[in-house]
Amino acid sequence: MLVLSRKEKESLLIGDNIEIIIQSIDKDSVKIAIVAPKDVKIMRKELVEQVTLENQQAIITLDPAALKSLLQLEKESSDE
Amino acid sequence: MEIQSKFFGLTTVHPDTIIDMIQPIYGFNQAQRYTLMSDSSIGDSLVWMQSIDHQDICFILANPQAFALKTPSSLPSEVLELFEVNSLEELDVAYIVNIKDSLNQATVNLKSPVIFNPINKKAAQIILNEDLPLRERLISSC
Repeated sequence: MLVLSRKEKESLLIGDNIEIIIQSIDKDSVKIAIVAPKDVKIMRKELVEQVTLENQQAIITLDPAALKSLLQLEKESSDE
Repeated sequence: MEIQSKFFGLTTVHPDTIIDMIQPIYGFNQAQRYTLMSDSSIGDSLVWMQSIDHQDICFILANPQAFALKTPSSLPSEVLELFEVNSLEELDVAYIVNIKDSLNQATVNLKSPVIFNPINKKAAQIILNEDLPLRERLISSC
């Protein structure tokens, strides 16, 4: 991993068409501007991690028979 | 072709119906191809999205219309370009369902729908920019 120091308003170039600009620096956060082609996906890492976790939990799922009996149960309780 | 599915046993999948992920389901990069399966007594409101190559990978998807769930009113232009369409109307949206042990507890991930192009069978899980819940009740309490 490459680690560089940058001051406010300085920037970095990644490859030929990505620029990362340090817009402002606060006590505990930095504001970063990114110039990149549209097809470069830029995401907050924690959001991707949350979605991944949600997907991993979703895969522990029910078979159709169990789901059917659940649907049946719900139907009966709402009919009452 | 025949595949071994997680819940429906040995199943015949017609090559024309195979869904090809242009962006994988997050966390499941190894599963590139899926098929949609349904149970006739449950209907099309919930479908199983079964991986072709990995028997254990199978999601339940909810049809938003069947559960009166909101669907995105627009998509970023780069997503439309990814699907090679001009408008959102050309695409289908479904939500991954997370079912614990009762349907009342089941949630859907509105923040990152699975989007399909029904014409060329391409699909992707898209993380939307809007502030949307990762866990919205599938069945509202009202």
